Amino acid sequence: MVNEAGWERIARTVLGVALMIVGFGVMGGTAGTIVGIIGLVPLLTGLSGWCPLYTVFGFRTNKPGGAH
Amino acid sequence: MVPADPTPGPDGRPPLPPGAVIVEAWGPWCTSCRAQRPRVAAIAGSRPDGPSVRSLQVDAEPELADALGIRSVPTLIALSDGVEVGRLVGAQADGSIAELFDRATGPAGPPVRSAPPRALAVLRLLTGLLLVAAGLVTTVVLAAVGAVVAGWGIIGLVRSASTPTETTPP
Repeated sequence: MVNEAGWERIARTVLGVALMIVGFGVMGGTAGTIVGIIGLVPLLTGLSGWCPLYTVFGFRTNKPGGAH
Repeated sequence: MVPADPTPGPDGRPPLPPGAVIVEAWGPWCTSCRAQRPRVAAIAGSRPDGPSVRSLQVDAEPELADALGIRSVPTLIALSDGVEVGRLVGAQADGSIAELFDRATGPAGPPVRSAPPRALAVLRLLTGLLLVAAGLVTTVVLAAVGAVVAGWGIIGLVRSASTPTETTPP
């Protein structure tokens, strides 16, 4: 069930991609791996449109009529 | 299993009828719902022996909407004697809606699922390809994640392509 607006999904995806590239590609090492793994979170939540924390707190940034 | 008790509720609104039913959840503020409702009515009209359509305005009947697990609109739920046999979330093409109608009256089979919008599937594919390209020059981990995301996008595109083109709403 989607609870993110379109602008937020794009922002999360871009942030996630950036963090993963910086973490896995630029930084490297343990710190880079951690940053890259952290980047997975906004990437996956952005591409899926669903944030589990939003669901827990009953929050959403999209309109109720916007499924997907 | 949703109860198909024909007894009217405390507010006098008709409950879910027994047999084959399509529950059409909508909201007056939902533009997608307003565009889809005439098409659902047309498909129902073309099937005189098909399932009945139960209109569910989620603001007016929040308890029933909650009982059916409706979290967004438009949502179409196919029920066969109180058992959910299919659900479509979001605006749908006529072909998907017709398939849901057939699901309500036909033999049980794989659940009907709504396909993701094509734009979302393309976004996933492009993101995956970007990660694969970045991974080819940096680390294989990025490429692996990119391949998974790209595959996710391809699956979405295939599912979207298998749905007939949506007709222009009136």
